[in-house]
Amino acid sequence: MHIAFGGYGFAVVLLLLLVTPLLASFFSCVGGSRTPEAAALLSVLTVFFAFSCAVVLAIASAMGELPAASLTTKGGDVVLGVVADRTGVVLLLLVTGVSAIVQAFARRYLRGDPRAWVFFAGAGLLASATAAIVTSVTLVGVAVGWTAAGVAVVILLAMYPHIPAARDGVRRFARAFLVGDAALWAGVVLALVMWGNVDVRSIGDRIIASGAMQPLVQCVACVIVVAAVARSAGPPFHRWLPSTLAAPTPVSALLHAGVVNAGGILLIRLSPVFTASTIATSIAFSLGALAAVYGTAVMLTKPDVKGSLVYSTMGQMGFMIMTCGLGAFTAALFHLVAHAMYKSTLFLGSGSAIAAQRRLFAAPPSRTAGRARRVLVSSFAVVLALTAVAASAWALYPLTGSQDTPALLVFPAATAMTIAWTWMRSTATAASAIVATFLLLLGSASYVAAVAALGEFVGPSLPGSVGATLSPWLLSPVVLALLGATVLHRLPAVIHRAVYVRVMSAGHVRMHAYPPVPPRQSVDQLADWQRYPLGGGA
Amino acid sequence: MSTLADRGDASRAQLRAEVALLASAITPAWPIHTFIATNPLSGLERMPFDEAIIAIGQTGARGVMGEQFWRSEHARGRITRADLMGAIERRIPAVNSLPAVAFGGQDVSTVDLLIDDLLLGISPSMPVCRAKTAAERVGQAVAGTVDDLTVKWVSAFVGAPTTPWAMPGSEEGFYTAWRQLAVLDPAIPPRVQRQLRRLPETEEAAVLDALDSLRVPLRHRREYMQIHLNRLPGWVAHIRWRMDNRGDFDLLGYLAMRLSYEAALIGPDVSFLIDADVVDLATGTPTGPAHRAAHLAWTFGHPLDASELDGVAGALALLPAVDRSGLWLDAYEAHYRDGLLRSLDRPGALQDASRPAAQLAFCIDTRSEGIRRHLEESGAWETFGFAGFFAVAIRYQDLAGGAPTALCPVLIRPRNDVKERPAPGTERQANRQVDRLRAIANVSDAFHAAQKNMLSSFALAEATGWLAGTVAAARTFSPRAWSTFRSRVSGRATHAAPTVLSVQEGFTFEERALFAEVALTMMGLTARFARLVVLCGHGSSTENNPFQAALDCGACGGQRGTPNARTAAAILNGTEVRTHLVRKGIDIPDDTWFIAGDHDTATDRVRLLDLHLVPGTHKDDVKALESDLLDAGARLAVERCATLPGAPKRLSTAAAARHVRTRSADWGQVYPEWGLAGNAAFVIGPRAMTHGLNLERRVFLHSYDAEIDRDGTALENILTAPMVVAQWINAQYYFSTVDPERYGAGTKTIHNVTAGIGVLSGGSGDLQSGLPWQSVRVGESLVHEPMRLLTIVEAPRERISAIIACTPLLRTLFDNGWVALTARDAPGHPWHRYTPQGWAPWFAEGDTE
Repeated sequence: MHIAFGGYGFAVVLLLLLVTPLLASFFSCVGGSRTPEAAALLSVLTVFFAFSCAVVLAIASAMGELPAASLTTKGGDVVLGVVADRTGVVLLLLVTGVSAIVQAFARRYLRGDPRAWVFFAGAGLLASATAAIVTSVTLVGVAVGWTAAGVAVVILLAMYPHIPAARDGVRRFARAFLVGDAALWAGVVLALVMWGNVDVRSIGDRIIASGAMQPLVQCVACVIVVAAVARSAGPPFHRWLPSTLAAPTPVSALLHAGVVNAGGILLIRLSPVFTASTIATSIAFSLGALAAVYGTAVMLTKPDVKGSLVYSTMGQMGFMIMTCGLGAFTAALFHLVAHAMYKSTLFLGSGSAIAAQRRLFAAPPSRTAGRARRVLVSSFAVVLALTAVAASAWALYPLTGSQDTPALLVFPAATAMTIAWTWMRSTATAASAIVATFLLLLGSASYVAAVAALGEFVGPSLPGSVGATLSPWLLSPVVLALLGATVLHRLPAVIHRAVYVRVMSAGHVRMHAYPPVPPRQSVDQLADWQRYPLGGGA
Repeated sequence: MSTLADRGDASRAQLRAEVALLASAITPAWPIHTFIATNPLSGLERMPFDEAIIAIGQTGARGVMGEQFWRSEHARGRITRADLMGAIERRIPAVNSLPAVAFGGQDVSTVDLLIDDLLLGISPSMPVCRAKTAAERVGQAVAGTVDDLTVKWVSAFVGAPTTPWAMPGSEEGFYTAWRQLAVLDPAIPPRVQRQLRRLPETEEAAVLDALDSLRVPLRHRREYMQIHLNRLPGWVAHIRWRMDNRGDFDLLGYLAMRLSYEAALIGPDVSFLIDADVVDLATGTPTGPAHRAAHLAWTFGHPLDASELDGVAGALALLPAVDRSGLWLDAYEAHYRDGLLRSLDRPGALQDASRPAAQLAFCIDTRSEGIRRHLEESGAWETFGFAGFFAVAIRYQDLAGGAPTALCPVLIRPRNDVKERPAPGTERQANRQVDRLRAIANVSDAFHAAQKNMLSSFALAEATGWLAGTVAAARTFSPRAWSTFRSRVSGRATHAAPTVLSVQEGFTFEERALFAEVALTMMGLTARFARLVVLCGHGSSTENNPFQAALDCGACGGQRGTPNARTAAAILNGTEVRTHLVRKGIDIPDDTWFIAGDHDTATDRVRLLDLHLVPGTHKDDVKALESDLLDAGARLAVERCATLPGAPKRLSTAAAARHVRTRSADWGQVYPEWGLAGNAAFVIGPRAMTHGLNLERRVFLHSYDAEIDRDGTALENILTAPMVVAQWINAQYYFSTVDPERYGAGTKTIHNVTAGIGVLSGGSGDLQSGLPWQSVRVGESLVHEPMRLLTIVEAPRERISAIIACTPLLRTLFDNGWVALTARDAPGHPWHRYTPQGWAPWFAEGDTE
């Protein structure tokens, strides 16, 4: 056995990053219940250290280094190894950065909580495990990180085991976890049989060399999709995520920022295998699209803040998986990083809902515009948004070597339209039109530039598609379905009601299985004390 | 199944009456943005406290701490043997004249025996809910399903105004909307759907049908509905509030849904449920005196023969098991109360006849005690306590011109509209400020519109996520810098335009004159006016805290009370009003200026407001006061940091002031301040009574001068309004502490704001009511000592008796032991305890030292 380092001392930095959160987690397990303050402080400090490591690695990577460490056999085959390529450092920055924020938040938020040590134990393990998923060079390494992350989630969800809903959340996650992990490990075993303990980065070459369309390759690709969808709470694994709200807010923040998007990370890292099968990409696209429509529709019916965030995540993760299905991996990466920060912030700040409501009441009344003006405003908003996004894309896209389909720009265009319309609706003056034009152009340009810059940065490390990619036209039914919801309430009441009840009901976690008709014998078995009386109420 | 046709109007009217009766016993839960402290047991106040505790015990709720807690409090000396003896003597007055009992070869007095039993005997078991719904009898799955479905529909209906895709038909009222939709619910089995299709049009008929189908006997109908209302008490309390304030959702509709689901799920065969004979359900530890005597003998290792056992049992029978915790509570309270009253028994502080540098009136809130004490230490400042809405019940609209807020105790309807207007000559500045606020509101509107639109939500997350991450980092690592930045953006800090309140338009002259006279008399401030008189409202700046209203001024409907203070100051500065007051014998000197203040209880900063109105002659007075307020606040911050979880100990004043500011801006902080935790007493009397004492921010202080108020009107006002509010607050803290799951809101860490009206614990379930765990405890240890309120009055006792005699509300509270009352006629006189039978000396003879 040999230990090989790449990128000089940066390899050590990478190893430290991987190990330190795990050590803090271990300390929490051992001494966290006796010295909660110390355990929390240690966890926060270590995750900060990990974040600084990630920053160092990012700089090194930008300078062209490739920090790597591996354990190789005498023959030079990699047994276990880690590497921080461009995609890797972006994800490491995300994982450690979000962990640092959430753990620092939790140190105050969970103060005095007798179970706080469980959080820090789980959070440390999760950070290390996710870093392992992101950096492992072997399939086995990825799968070990994957399973460890699942274990971390179980620990985190079991923070308040005395709450029945929390136990229910653990059970539901564990079910998805078992199926997803079994699928992934099955894929890993198949791959080991086919290619040996192969470097993830060179799988693409092997597949191309061996002729892509082997049934076994198809199998591996499909089980990877199953694992990804299970972790991302896409259908048919959509039941676990909504049942996790009985865990404290910081757990939700971690879950929505660093666990569910692991599905996307897996598909990106294993894209050579995943894209080798059109069946797999089609499954990913369809399940992703389904989750996107289902999640966002249910979100609209949720009256509770966190419930609404949960279903929003489900939709967003569907969008991410769908994007992967289209082979647009830069777009998927961009989405999963931005969404992680977006959602963890919204979760941590979910207690501000009442203050926001107070502000809304106290805000200056908006001026209502007449019908003619509304028509004018909406057409202006549509034209402006389309122009802004199209102009930005036209100006900036050619500068990058992105292979992502431009069809995905329909989504930012829709966002720009909504924002422009809502902004103009209340202040329909020439001045505000100019402001809107300026801001929207600036916004679209920055957005496209940011996507392009990320593409440029990670481009060399993204393996890219092996097989044929799906047609972007597949997006059109999805967009239509998403658009359809906005006109639902205009449909006849009968249809509206029926759709509403189905969607609303789908968003309600059922804690109890529906009872069968009470069988006679069980009735007869009722003990005396179970029969009436009715008295005794206060 | 009988149908609508069989039912006369009479049976429906009777049902309505029964439900109305049930509703009257439920304390309404106000929406969380106006968090109003209430006694969760207010419906039971007509019973003595001890009986109410037993009554709620039947529903599985705890009304008093458990024996384990009491014993540990005894072990650490918080309850002494003397406290227990005193409590026993008050409960069993003849106990000392009883003969001694033979126990283990010695003669032991009954008191000693009872104390031994309290310390070592059998503890009574925890309350268990014994009344069960039919669904619970069939199985937890059925009962849980009924609750799940209830929560689903109630939240959908209540949340309709704040949900992007609202429940269709919700404008038609709950029952109608639910009935249309429930049959379409794919989540219920077809056989239940079939049943629901037959639902009658009115909720009365639905309730009657369901009760028939469940074969609930008529005589048990009310109790049965009560049991259903007890299953999800939080939602029920919210519906109770809604009944009075919206009228689109009432308990009848709620019961109609629950009972219909229950009947449909159980099905038509309920023969097994018809067994209406009342079975004795007593279970748990045997608590009869004979058992207790035997247990005690065993504990001490004394073999007792039958006659000795009888003797001991006879003595123990004087204190039935159900009364034990009440007795412990008495002793626990007595310990604190005796100490407090002794500390008030000092030689009366000499009234200083010279003119004070300034007079400051603060809210009666217990938190004011701290700032008043520290301020008085720094100079010739005189302070007063008064209800924080300063007796002006207003509907207030600020400069932005949004929806007006009612700023007054919730039981009063605001009578006067007050609007904030730009000060003359600053209209342009004010307009710019409003434009800026409007722009911020529009940005937030646009963001939310994109967030709640299916197609646009995806790229929104991508575009704003980067910003969100930066914001999260800033809020976490530098809360104070973030809050400064935000107030810069909103223009609150830097560009706030000077404003005035429309007091002249909002009040008639008669209203202003009456207000001025009543307020000053109630406060006991009718002479010796200083050059500056500050009326100081309060509020609390906290971040990310759904319970922020619980920390704001309770007398202002859970809002910041500054507009009230500004209004009151503006009225009292009016020359017409002052001329009128002179006729009433209140002569305010011409050089007296009233000024409003704002006490931020999270940061202990007191800001003086409307400084642009202050005459040039008073600028120096203002400056001197501001500097002392700053110092007093910083010293109070040091004091508070000693008990705030996670605050560094032994801080300098400057560091402590910084720390509390950071804390108040920190979005991860679940203990921004301790609020009114620890509150235990309400003092009505002049400040001379309490001046110079450290009351540890546990006492409500209402200024009162018995000399000025000869006819007792002011005292009656104080007892029936501020004291009752204080009792609500006290009861809220009390019950949130003793049963944090049922009467408190549970832990903050899993709270989930729903429908903009309250919080859930987790994703579903009951609406949480009361205060969260983090408002009364740290981990497992209590910060709030659960005690009932003690009202302390310095006024002639005949006057107090006369007021109580003609006020049923006060008789209820005092006679039933919800609030204790003690009084002394004048400084230096002995304290007397109010009992329904008359006044009794508080301390026994020779015990006054």
